Amino acid sequence: MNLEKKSVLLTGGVAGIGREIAQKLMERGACLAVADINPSGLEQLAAELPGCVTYLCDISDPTQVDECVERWFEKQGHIDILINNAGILFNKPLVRFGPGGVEKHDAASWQKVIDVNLSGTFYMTSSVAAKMLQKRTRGLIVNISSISAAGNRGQSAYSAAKAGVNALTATWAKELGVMGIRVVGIAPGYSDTPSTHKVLSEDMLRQIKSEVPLRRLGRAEEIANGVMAVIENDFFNGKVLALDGGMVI
Amino acid sequence: MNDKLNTLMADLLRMDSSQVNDELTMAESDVWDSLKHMELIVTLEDEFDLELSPEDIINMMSVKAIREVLERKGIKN
Ligand SMILES: NC(=O)c1ccc[n+]([C@@H]2O[C@H](COP(=O)([O-])OP(=O)(O)OC[C@H]3O[C@@H](n4cnc5c(N)ncnc54)[C@H](O)[C@@H]3O)[C@@H](O)[C@H]2O)c1
Repeated sequence: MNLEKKSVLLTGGVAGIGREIAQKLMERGACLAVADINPSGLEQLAAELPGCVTYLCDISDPTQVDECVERWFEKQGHIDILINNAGILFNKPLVRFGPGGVEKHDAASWQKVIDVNLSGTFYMTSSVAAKMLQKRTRGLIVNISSISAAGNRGQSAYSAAKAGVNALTATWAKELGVMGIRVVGIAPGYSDTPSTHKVLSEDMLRQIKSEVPLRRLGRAEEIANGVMAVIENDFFNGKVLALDGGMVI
Repeated sequence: MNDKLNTLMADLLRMDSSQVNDELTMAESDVWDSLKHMELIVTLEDEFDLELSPEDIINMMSVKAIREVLERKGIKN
């Protein structure tokens, strides 16, 4: 799919990988709206990328998602591409020895990670797919997953959510393909973004890099290049492309 | 029976075209579920180069009803 004048909705475009994706979409002439939970970040994005429309939206709230999709649809008349990128990185073991004895993974953080990373993707896609069906748009859904979907130690909630995203990618490709809608995934490995540095200590990052055959983290720009590649290749469908420097979890 | 419609329905529902007749309804067919219905609508629009309204789509629950909608849009045998 050629991006020139395409109507694109991107979630989590304020920071990290999403910010790079936003940049590349604008460079290729797309009409872009970014939905993000960070109000000051959205203001800055609008200033840095003239023409980019911004919506304050928490993707884990289905009402906010429907409102956001409705506003972009009303403005554009149709939506060609949805990129489900917004997500939260989260590490916590299932159980551990704490100061007061054995502690277990709390339900609240489990729920939060599932709500944003899995349910948010579901809410956005059902809302956008309904618009695509309504307008018979032969569109595209891109889900940003993670190599952690294979099951990563210390990431129960995150791994489960991303495995769910992979399952949805395959399911939706089968359901929506007959309408000419493609559904694809990108699974980044550990990437050099603000959230990675917030969640992982320098020691942990050193250890992770030593496990990557290329001995480094991915760059947000490299992940965004992968997104452009799957947008452009019209026969890539129902699969998740790993961009991980060769790392195996 | 519209030949093209008959063939198209048989292909979509994976039936022999001799089994497709006016009386065939969505409710009575195991294969003709809501996902198949979406595929049917998109295929009809492509094949007959037309746009179906939400009312048309809701009404098209049998081969007979589909044929009537197509006829109303000027598509005949
Ligand atoms: N960074 C990595 O190493 C890595 C690895 C694999 C997969 N990923 C995935 O890539 C995607 C982007 O990650 P990143 O590292 O760029 O993260 P990031 O934290 O740098 O950026 C995430 C963006 O999403 C937004 N966001 C968070 N919660 C939101 C919500 N509820 N509603 C709307 N917006 C919300 C944030 O404001 C931010 O702009 C995520 O889905 C993440 O799981 C990242």
